[in-house]
Amino acid sequence: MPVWFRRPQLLHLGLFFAAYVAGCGFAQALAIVPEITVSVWPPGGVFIATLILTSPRTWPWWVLTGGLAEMFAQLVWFHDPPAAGFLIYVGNALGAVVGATLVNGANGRPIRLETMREVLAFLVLGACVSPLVSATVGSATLAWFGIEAQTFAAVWPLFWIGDATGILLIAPLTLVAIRYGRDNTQLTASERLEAGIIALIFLAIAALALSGDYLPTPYLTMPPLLWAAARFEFRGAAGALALLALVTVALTISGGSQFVGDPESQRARQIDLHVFLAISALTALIVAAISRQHQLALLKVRQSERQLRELIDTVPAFIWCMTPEGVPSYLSPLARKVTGVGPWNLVAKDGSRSLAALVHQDDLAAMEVELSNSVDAGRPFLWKYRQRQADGSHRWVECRAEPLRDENGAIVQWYGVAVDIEDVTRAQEALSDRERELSQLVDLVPSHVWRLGPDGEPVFFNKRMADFIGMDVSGTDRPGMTRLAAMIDAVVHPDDTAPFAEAMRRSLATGDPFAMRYRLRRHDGVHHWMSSRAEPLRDKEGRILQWYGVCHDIQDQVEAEEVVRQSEQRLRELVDVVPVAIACLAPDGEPTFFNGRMTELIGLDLMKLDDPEAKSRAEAVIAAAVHPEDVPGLTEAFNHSLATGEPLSRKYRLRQTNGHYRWVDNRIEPLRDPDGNVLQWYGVCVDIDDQMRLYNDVEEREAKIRRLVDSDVIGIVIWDLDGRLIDANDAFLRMVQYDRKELDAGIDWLAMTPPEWREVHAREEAAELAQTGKMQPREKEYFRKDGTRVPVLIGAACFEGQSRQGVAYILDLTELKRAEAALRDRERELTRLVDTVPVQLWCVSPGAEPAYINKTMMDYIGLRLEDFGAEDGLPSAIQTVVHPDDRAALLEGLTRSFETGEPFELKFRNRRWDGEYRWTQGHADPLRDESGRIIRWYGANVDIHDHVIAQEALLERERFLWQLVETLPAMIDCASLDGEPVYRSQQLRHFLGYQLEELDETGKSRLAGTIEAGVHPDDRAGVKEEYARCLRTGEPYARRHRLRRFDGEYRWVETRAAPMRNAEGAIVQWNVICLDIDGEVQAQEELSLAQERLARASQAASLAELSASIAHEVNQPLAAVVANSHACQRWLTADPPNLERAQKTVAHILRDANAAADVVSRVRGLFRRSAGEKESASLANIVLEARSLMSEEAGRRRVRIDVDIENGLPLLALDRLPIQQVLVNLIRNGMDAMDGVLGERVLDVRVRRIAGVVRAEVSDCGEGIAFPDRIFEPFFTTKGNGMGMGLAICRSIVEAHGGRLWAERNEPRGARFVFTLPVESQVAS
Amino acid sequence: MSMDEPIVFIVDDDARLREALAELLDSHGIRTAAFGSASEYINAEKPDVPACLILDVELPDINGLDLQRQIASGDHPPIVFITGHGDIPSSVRAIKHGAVDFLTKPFSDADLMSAIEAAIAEDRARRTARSELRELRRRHMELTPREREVLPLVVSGLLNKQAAAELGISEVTLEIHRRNVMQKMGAASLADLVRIAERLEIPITHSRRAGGTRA
Repeated sequence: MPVWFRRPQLLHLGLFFAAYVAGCGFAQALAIVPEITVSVWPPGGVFIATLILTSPRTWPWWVLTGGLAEMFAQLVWFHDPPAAGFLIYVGNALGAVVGATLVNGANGRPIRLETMREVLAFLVLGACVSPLVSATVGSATLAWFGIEAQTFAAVWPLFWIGDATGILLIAPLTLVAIRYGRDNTQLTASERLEAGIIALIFLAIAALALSGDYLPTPYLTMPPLLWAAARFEFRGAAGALALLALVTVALTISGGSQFVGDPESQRARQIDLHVFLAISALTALIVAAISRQHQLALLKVRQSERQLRELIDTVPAFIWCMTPEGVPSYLSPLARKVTGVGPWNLVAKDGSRSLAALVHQDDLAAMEVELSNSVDAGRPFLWKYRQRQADGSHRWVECRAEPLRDENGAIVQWYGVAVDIEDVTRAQEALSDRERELSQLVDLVPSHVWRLGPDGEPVFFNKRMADFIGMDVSGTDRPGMTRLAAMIDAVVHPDDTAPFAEAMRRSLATGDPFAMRYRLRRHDGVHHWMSSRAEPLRDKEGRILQWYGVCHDIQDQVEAEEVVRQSEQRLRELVDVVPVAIACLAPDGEPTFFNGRMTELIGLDLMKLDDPEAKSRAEAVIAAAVHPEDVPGLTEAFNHSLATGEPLSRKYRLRQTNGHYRWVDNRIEPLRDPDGNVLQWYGVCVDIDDQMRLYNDVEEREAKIRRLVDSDVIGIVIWDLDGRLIDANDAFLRMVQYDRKELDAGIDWLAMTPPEWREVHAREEAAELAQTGKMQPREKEYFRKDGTRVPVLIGAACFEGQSRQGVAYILDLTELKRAEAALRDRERELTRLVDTVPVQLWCVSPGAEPAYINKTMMDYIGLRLEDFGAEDGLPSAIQTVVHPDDRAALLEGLTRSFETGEPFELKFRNRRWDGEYRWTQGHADPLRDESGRIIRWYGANVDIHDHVIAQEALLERERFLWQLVETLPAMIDCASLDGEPVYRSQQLRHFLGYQLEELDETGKSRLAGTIEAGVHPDDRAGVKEEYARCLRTGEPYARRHRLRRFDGEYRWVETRAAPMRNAEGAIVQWNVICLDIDGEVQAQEELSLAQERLARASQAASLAELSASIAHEVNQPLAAVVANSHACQRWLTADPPNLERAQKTVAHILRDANAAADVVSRVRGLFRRSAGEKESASLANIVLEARSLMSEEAGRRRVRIDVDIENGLPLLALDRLPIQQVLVNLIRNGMDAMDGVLGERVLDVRVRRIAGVVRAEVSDCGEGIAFPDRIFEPFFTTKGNGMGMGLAICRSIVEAHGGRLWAERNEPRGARFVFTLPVESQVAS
Repeated sequence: MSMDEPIVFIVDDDARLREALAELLDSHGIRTAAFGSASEYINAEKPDVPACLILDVELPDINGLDLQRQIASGDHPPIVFITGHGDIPSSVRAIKHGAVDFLTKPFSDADLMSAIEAAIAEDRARRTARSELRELRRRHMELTPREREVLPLVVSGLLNKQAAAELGISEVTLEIHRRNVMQKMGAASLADLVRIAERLEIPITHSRRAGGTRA
């Protein structure tokens, strides 16, 4: 199998081959026994060593190689028969294989030969057992083949020992060589030197001993051999054995060996040699093994010691050692470092221990004693002390030491450890300090403090508690029971033990805090009340660690409570037995206490009264116990009291336990603290049922009567003579303004009686009542509540059998009295009025008897009514006071009136008191009764004397004026408002030649008649119109016209009329004056004719200038014509001729030429001064044309022209062009006038028909005209560059048409030029 | 139309005449611009070319003669007056105030055209002179303040010495200034400079005869 046979390296195989061959050679060299070719067999050693070291899988190669080597040796040295040689070799190989297998099986691989066991296994199995096989096979072969005549028995021992010796000598050497060749372990120089010396000595001894000449036995080589084996182990042993073998071989070969002898003895000597070599090898190997083993053990010990040392050095504790005598011998490095001392510092000069450098001096002595005791006794040592540190400070350490003993129990060493416990010590100290403080604190707490374990066992009582109960916790340790039980038994009052134990048990079970009151027994046996609480202390997981409890001594408190309770009990009993129902309420009205009687009364237990449905207990009580009818009232009153703090007093029905209701009077009053806040309400219920019933009965009865009484308007009172008003009805109370409450509170009717009536009462009424028991009705007065008096009619009667009490009926007389007073007042006022009227009033009876004259009249005539006689009073009166001339008339007038009943009216003179007769206007009217009969005549006289006098004076003046007017040389006329003449002066009448009255006969109005008859027909219309206008507007009238004189001649007159106005400004009359101005008019006409003539002359004079102006008008179009003509000419002569332009210019020429012609004809018309070719034309059209002519200029000058033409104007016969010229002129003038106007420039052109004319107006809003009468004069101009001809020409044109042109002021500003054209002119042509 | 082509402004309130004149001048190939009143003319944008103004004496807003007086202060084209009724005082006044001609309507083509041509020629000459004067003014403005002081002294005929004394500078410095003035004003000689100074209306403040002893 390929896997099985693995070929070793060829080099190794070659080396093996060489070694094998060399071993064969070596064996040949030692074969000193003649008949035996081989004695020592080194190849066996090589073979077995090789197999031992190599893997069994390579063994066939080694066996093969060994076979070749054997064959080679056979050829070279042994020359055995091949079969024998082969068999011998088979034996050798078999032996080697068996040996190697056994050794490997015994020692395991790889072979180390370091332990004794390995060496022995090798020696026995490899060196002894293995040769058995090879020796047997070899000897049998030799014997079989009979080589050298050997017998099996003779050869076998030698063969065996030879193989064994060969193995013993060579196999170790081989093993060592191969192994150390692999290890490369180097020897030190000293070892090399020692090895060299040993080798020399060994060689010397071997040489001397083996040679047999100088030393008796070869075994003298053993010492150096063993030395080498001991010192260098296998290497030494192997090397020495090799040397020995070599020496032996050398000597044997050389024959110098003592094992070489005569042939007879040679065999024995051979065996001796083998034995010698075997023993040497055996011994050396065993020694080497022992040495090796020793060395290994030593190494292990050293290693573990080093580990231990390292361990010690790194342990974080102070480790130290002491000799058995107790002298410090070692300190661990840590200890040395920390303390700064070494073991040498701890040994005194005399070799004894000295710990002063390490231990605090306070601890030194004690520690020394303890340590000495421990050392002496061999006891373990334990001590705490302060150890000095390297920095000089001290730290607490705990030091332990134990002795190390040997097998005999003798102390070998003390080992100690010191641990730093400084921090722990400190912490413990702090802890113990705190605990001490706490325990002091706990002991000082002025309570009993105790602590229980989680199971409830007492573990601590503080001092106070211990003092109180007279025992400590330990006192609760009693056999057979728990501490808790013992404590309860010992200190808790017998009555409280059960609840205490139960509460404690429950708290322990649930972990809830424990709290209870119980009696605790004091050490002297007295029980004190305690208030005890306990709470568990829990750890983080919530487990209970401890119970901490506190007990307060509340004995005093309990005693005090007891006292209070007892007193309360007494009070309660007291309250309960009081025969009044009592309740206490909290400030918010909640009942807090009902006494027994109360509870009994309402059958409700307050404590069981928490009705969940009611809002409060109070409501619950009310709902349960109060009669439903009384509930709302009570609730309201109750809430009111609660809100305001006012006491409550109310009667209501309370339900009793038996279900009946009884009336109670409930009063509730607040108890207040010093600040006035309500602390408590106290209520008392008194059973008033019986009273109430009685009362209700009475009340019912009384109500009936009262209704009866109250229905009357008469006041009814029940009184007694002491002044008390026992009762009164509402009528009376209303009378005196009291209400019933006040009545209930008590009213003293005497106090209501005014003092004067009190006297009357005392004097008369009381007596009357006393005598008759009645008082007749009489008027008297009472005071009302507000102090005013009320007049009353009062009648009274005493109750039967009662002289001091009675009933009175009283009637209010206020209204009656007031009416009377009013009547009186009115009468008085009338009298005063009549007396103070500044008219004399008088009154006579139908029988003409004076009945009354007023004071004014009395004062006036200075007489009183009584001064006239009763008989014929009226005539006598007339006789007395009336002027003698008037007496008859007066009397007659009066008499007639009296007879007919007609009103009387007369002016007469009355004599005044001073005797002067004054004009008086008298009136009298009858007063009739229902049947129409005259009862009285009332008359009034008014003094009109001054008036009459004034009138007379006026008449006188008028007459004077009249005469004046009549005699004035002016014609004067007076007209009424409507213009009707009412008066004409003498002069006017004379002029006209008829009387005013004559006009009335014509059937026309006077005015119309006058005008028709008098005014010149030409002037008539104007006069009428103007006069009518003035009459309408009230403006003064002034006009010149011709008036027909009586002789038929018309004369110019100027009539002026002005209205005469009264004080209010209203027109009363028109006064007209008419002046004959005929002469002046004639003169003026002559003057104006002269002026005209003059004007014409001046016109003519300035004709040149006028022509210049005309020339301008004409030249303008002419210049255009010329220019256009030239242009036309040029256009036509141009090359080529521009016919189009030429034609246009020709058109312009025609237009402009016509314009020029127009101007010329216009000018001609102007100067013709006669109506030209008049045609029938529409002024409207002319106006519109003029406007369109001017529109371009108007636009340029920002003037708006408004034209307003009445519809349906008649056509007029007129010369169109001049009229247009007039319009253009007027329009242009208007525009000129408005040049300076900043605002809107409006020119108004209006055309209207008025009467027989068409009137055209051109109004501007310029600055107006400064000289309205001059502007029409020729050459008068207001413009800088005007000729002054325009308006003059215009006027002449208009007048040529029979019209007029004038200027007016325009409203609100500017000028208006008006011209009229007569419609009549239409008739022409 | 070149930029230099002359224009004739017509101011007359009679639209017919304006039209006719424009037509006539157009037939002569002359550009025109017509206005109905003096204010229209004044407010109008006018091209900067040789021009002539045909002005009616009677205008709706202001008199043509007044307009002439108003615009006399500025650069305005030569005026040819036309009037409907020419009176002697007006024509004298117009001509005295520099009008080229005073034509009475109706006027002949030849009169008008010769007047216009004369006016335009005059305007051309005036415009040239104005531009020369502008150039001289510009040059004068470029002189340094000192040179501007030197110029009147020099053209007044003062000797260098006198002028230097007047300014309190040395004669040499004055000589330098004077040379600079001549050069800057483009004067070929002192006479030339004097002429220029006249055109610039530089006042001759010193007379040589005064001898520089001015207080």
